[in-house]
This record gives sequence, structure tokens and C-alpha cells, in this order.
Amino acid sequence: MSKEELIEKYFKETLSETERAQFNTYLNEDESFKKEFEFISNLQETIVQKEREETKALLQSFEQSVKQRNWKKWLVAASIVLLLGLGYSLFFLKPSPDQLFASNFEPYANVIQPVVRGLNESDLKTKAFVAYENKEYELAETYFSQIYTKDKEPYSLFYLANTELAMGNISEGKRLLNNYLELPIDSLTEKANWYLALAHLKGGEIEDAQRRLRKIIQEDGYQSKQAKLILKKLN
Amino acid sequence: MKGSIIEALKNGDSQTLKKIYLENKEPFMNFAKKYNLSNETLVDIYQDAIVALRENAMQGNLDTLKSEISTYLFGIGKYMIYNYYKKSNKERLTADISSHFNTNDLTEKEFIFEPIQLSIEQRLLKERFSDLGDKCKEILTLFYYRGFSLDEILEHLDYSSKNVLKSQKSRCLKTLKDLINNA
Repeated sequence: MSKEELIEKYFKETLSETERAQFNTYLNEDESFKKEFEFISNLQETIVQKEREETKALLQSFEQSVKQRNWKKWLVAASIVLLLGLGYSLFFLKPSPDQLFASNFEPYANVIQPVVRGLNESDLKTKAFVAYENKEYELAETYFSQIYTKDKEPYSLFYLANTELAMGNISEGKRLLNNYLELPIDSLTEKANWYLALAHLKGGEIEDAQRRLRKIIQEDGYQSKQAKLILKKLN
Repeated sequence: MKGSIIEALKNGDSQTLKKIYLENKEPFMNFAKKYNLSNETLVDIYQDAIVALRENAMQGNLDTLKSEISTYLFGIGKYMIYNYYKKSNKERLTADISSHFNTNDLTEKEFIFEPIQLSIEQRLLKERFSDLGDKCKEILTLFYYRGFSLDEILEHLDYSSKNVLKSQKSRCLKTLKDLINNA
């Protein structure tokens, strides 16, 4: 039996009694045998250690993958919660008075002067409504002001107020609407209530807005249904 | 079932390893709670226990395993926790927890799994070993880690004859020695 085989048998634990005796003799007396044995012994331990390290690294990667999966799960859950929250706030969160104004304000339609283009555009009244319908509010402002100073026509005050609101001049709009409401009641009075309520909303005077809205509801006036909705959202 | 799992472990099937690892982790952590170790330490010990389980399977020590794999795994883990206490000199604690250990369990051969501290020589060896070709690494690993005989390797790796394999193995060892001496 070769020395190499003896060493192998030692590691396989298959040495017989006589082989073991032989093995021990060599180990004590033969320097090169001893060296070879130590080399193989070191090699075996090294390979074992290497396998263990590699396996452990593999296990750590399992751990990592579980963590990542959990993390992903949490991320998905968090996203859903976030979306639900966002949806909830979009549907149920109180809209700001500003938002209520923005979603409700629409300059009141021209019910005074039917505009027939190219026909009688030269007179002031027509010019004013053409500009108003075309959303050229600065021009409309000029014409309605002129009509109002000249003729004191109530409608010009109402439409001037709408023009101011459309331009974002809320306090001027409010002032004009209040003036309008002091005039004798006509078909535009209930509309003026509505626009004043909106102007209060935009101006942040919530109590004034609520009072005005309640008045509209009470009188079952223009936009009273919408007024109920807004009042609900404000509470 | 158990036999096929052990067979898969022996073949180094990482999916099986992963399955065993994940399935037993929570139960092990719950079981080991009473030993009052940090989560981090317990995970580390659990991983070492799995490494030992795999090693024992690969070396054929589980071929005649009578208990369930998980029972065996927990046994190793328990032994390792005991060892951890012994090594960290927590004598009072060791006394406290020694009641949890039936020392008869711990003397079983397959539980013995001593961590290896590589010497400088061995670390060099390890480094050079990585420089070997894949064929050499495989033969030497089968022979020295798995404890395969030349006949078993012959079957496993499709060598034409035992003599070819034998001389291949000798060449691998020689190459490794040369690599070390020329370092």
C-alpha cells in the first residue's frame, strides 16, 4: 500500500489495525510523509471551511430575499393605503371655500342683449355683451362701467359685478353686488344673491357665505340645490 | 419524502436548502426564545445549524436518520446555543439554562460541529484552492468534503476509468502544491 493510500484511508477512517500501526510509524519517522499528511489534513479542513462559508452566504441571501419580499409586501400595502387615503381625501375631505368658489363660479350668462354678430355691434350695450361673452373682461368692464354711469341700468351693475369676479377682483365684485341688491327686486336679484354667496366664499368670509346660502335655500332661489350642497360641505 | 429531501441536500440542491431554511426558521426562533439571546445571535446560530445539517447530510450521516429532519435540526441548534453560552462564559446563565438541556442528546456524534479557525497556512491554501480548475475543485471537494470513495466519484463524474481519475486527482494536488510554493 502506498503512503498516499494510507493517508487517504486515514481520512476515510478505513485503516485496519496493521495499516494504522504502519501509518503511525511513518508519521513519526518519515518527514515527507508527515508533511504530506499535514498538507492533506489542512486541505480537508480548508475545503470544509470553504463549503461552510459558501453555504452560510447562501443562507444569508435567503434571509435577504425574505426581507426584500417582506419589504416589497409592505411597500405594496403602503401604496394601497396611500391610494385609499388619497381617494378618501379627494372624495370626502372638506373642499376649501376657494375650491368651492372655483367649482361653482361661472359668470352669469347674457340674458339681456342677444348678440347677433355683425349686425348691431356698434352700440355700447352690444359691445359690452360681445366682450363679456368672449371673456374679454377688461373690455367688458369698461363698457359696463360706461353704461352704468350713463344710464344707471341695473343689469349693467350686475354684469359689471360678474366681470369683476371673473377677473378675480372679489371685493369690487362684492361691493357692486351689494349695491345691486339695494335696488328694487328684479329677475337678476336672486342671481345676485348666489354670486354674492360665492364672492364671500372666495373672500374667506365663511359665515357671510353661509348666511347668504341659507337665504337662497330659504327663498328657494336661484341655485338653491347647489347652495344646499355647498352648505353641507362647509359644515 | 424525508429520504428524498436528504438526497436533494446531498446533491447540493439549493432550492431544497432554501425550503428547509424558510420552513423551520419561525419555529426555531420561537423554540429558541426561551434562551434569552438576541435575535441576531439566534439567526446566526440557526444558519450555522442549517450549515451543519447540510454538511451531515452530504457526509452521509443522515442516511439512517430516524427522527424528523426538523427535530434533528433543532437538536443541532440547541447544542449550538449551549456551546455559545459555554464559549461566552456566561456561567450563571449556563447554569440557568442547563436545565433545558439533556446532555445525553448532546454527545451524539452527528451533533459535533466544531467551528474551524483557519491557520495562516490554511488561509493561503484556501486562496490557492480557488485558483484551481473547476474539475479539480469538484474532485477534491467530493473526496475530502463529501467523503466519496474514488469509485463513487467515478460514478458521479463520468470518468472513463478509476486510474484516469486517480491520476487526475494526483495532478490536482500537485498543481495546488505548486500554486502554494510559487506564491
